[in-house]
Amino acid sequence: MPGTAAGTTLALSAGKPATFDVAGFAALTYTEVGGLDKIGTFGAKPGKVEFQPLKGVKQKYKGPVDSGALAPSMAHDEADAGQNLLRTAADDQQGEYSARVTYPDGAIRYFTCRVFGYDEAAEGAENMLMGSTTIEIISVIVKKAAA
Amino acid sequence: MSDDTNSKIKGKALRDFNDAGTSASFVKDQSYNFEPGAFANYKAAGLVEPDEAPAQDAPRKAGSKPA
Repeated sequence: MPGTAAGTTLALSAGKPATFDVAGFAALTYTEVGGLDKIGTFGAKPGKVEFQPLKGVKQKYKGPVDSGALAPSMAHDEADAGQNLLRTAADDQQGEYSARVTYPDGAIRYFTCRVFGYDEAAEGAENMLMGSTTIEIISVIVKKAAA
Repeated sequence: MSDDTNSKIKGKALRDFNDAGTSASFVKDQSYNFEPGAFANYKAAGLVEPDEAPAQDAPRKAGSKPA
């Protein structure tokens, strides 16, 4: 059923799943990232491979799949455990983390990821001190439907 | 509700922090019994360390000398 994104959560785990399916990801313990105001758009998308024959229209094929990235932003909070794990992941050059996005209807998206940086934004007196990052997805996105 | 502390990990908070998912709050230098998965995440985040100190509520025999 359509609805707003209100109540959507993002959580991270320092662990990796034993199996890349719902059971494997669900067995991990996640720590929710607090203070999020958005998560961004994400989804797997194949690259486009083009071939222009001498005769005829351009041919287009599906190439390797990129699972995409999230670009969450949040009210920066030094005391939030999930944000601290996110910032640790950003500083971790090679580390892989597991992530869980839970929608308001209970549907879940699981994946593994690497976190690319953490930007802090002090834009003005009438703005919250914000943090933002890019979470690159490095596995298939495992989907669990709403109950 | 059971209180199975054997499956938990005793750890010390290195600073004040909160868990948005559980609404739990932790105070610097205080010891807590953590779920193993939560402890692993907090440790990775630099928020806790294993607490090797003996439990304060451990039973003691009268007249026994400390080790």
